[in-house]
Amino acid sequence: MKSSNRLNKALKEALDGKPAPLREAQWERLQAELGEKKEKRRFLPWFFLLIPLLLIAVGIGYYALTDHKTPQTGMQENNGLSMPQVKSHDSVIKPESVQEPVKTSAESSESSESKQPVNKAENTLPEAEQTNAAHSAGAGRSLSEPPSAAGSGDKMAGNTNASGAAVQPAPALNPDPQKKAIETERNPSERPVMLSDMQMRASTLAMPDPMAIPGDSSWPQETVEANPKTKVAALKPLKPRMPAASRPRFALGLAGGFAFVKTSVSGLTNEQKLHKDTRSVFEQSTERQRSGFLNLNFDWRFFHSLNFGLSTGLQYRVIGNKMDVAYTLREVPMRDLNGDIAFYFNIGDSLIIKAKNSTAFRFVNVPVKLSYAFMAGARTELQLSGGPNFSLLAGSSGYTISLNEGSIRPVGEMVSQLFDVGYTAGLMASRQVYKHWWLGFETQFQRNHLSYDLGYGILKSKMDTYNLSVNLRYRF
Amino acid sequence: MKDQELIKACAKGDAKAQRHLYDVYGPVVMGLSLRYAGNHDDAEEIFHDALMKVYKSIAGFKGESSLKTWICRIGVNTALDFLRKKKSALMLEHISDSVLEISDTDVEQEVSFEAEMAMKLLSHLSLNQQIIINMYVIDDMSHREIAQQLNISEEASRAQYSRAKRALADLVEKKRVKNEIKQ
Repeated sequence: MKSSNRLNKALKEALDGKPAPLREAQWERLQAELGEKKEKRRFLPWFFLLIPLLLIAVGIGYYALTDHKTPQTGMQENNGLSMPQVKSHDSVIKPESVQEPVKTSAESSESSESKQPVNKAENTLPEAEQTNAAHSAGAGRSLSEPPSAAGSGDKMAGNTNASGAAVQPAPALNPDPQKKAIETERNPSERPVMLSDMQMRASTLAMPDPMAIPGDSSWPQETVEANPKTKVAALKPLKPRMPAASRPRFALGLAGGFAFVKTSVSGLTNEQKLHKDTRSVFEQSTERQRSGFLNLNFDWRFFHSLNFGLSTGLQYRVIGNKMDVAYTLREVPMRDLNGDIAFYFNIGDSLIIKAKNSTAFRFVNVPVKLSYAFMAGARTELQLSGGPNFSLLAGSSGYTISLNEGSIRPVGEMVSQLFDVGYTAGLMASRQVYKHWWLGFETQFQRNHLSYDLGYGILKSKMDTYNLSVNLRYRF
Repeated sequence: MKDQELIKACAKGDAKAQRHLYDVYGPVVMGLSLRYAGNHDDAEEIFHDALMKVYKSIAGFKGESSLKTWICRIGVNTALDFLRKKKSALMLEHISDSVLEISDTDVEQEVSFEAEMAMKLLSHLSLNQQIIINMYVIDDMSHREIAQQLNISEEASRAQYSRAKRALADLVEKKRVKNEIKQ
């Protein structure tokens, strides 16, 4: 018995359980640190949640404040033609809001003749074009169209007749009986016919509307009669690809998936102080890592005409490990005065250190990626993305081998760095499944780092995850 | 407050319970810290780190030992970690000596110390010897446990202990001659 020894007994009686007085300042220090830790725990997740929410808010705000009129396409600009415009030509019934005062038949005729040269290219609006204008991008209009005209464009389209030359106002639109009578008296054959202009427009009409939504049955697929004397050839079938300009620019998504993880040692500080088997034991202890994750995504394409955008979000990732490691310690490091290992002493009685349990690291990640998205079919989009990944170790559980201390320790206690900036890159293929909803499959590579304090030195590791996920997005 | 209630309340972060644990077990941990550190400043650091670990991990305490034993064990581990980092201590000196004679020296007559005198005696030993005496004699750890904690062999632990005892016995005899130690 230890205590049977007189000296041991005296020492134990004198010192065992001997209390020492405490200062109040010690409690205050403890209290302060305990409070700080609670605040830190509270603050950090909120901070990480705030970044993507802020980005989402900026995106939505930007979406709400910007002008959503569909821009002109390059094809139209090349033709030197603007989108159909409604101006004060007497043969075209303007919407109520822009109608001029009612003129007499003579005045009207005079007016028509005097304005004809000026309005040659832009004043006459055949039905097909009006229909097209009303149809394009839903009820979208030309950017140059006056707001008041744009507001009643659908009604206008409804008021044109098949010939496109003489337009009868609908009673509801023009309830003035005097105006109605004047319009009825007009002879359509007297109206100027601008064949060259119409032919140019016909060529435009023959091309598929780049802003049209594929599969939209309201698009005129058959013959379009712009003028009794000008018959436009049947339209070619629309190409099934959705152009960048008409694709939604924002997306909110939810994704989940799993990942294969490869953890390796990227560096050791004070390596001369660390056990020679530190690296191999560490890598052995991380062999069975797997990961699952849940993403809240937000995508924002910067401009209508560009495919580039921002892809960010919030990721909750768990990296789990079924650890089953046993290390037989036969050689004990002999250290010099600096703590450096001078040589290894072979002990006769070996010591086996075992760690058989499940460990887990829980991370909150915020990837901020630049993305490039392009259509690969009518409703299929491919998106490449890459950028930094901000990572926070939010929690851990389980035990691992601390070889340099010859013991088992909680993994969380050994981690010396909670925050890290890594990177991520991936490819996603998604398909429109229903209206605004897109379903995608994504493969992604992600790298982050984790450092462990081993007492005598630091072990730096890199965690590479190869992710597969399913992504459901709402695009708007 | 019973230990079980104290554990549950501390695990929930109840400030009153934390204070209660500090009042009840803090002085013991501080005494332990002083034994290992040998000075008040280092002892306060060890005490602080140990208590923080206790608060942080008390939710995982499964009651396999008494709460006091568990807290004291955390205190010992924290002290060893602290000394290892601060002083690059716990290195093995003259390990080749460990294969030499290992005997348990004792004093010739019954002896008793005040705590202060015991601390004074220990302070004459090397840091490693102080640690071994603390672990083996006062904290009742076996040479096997000490070997695991310090990453040394059991023989090395025994050898260190033997030398420490011999040095202590010599000191006690000298002090006895000077009548500083009660018979």
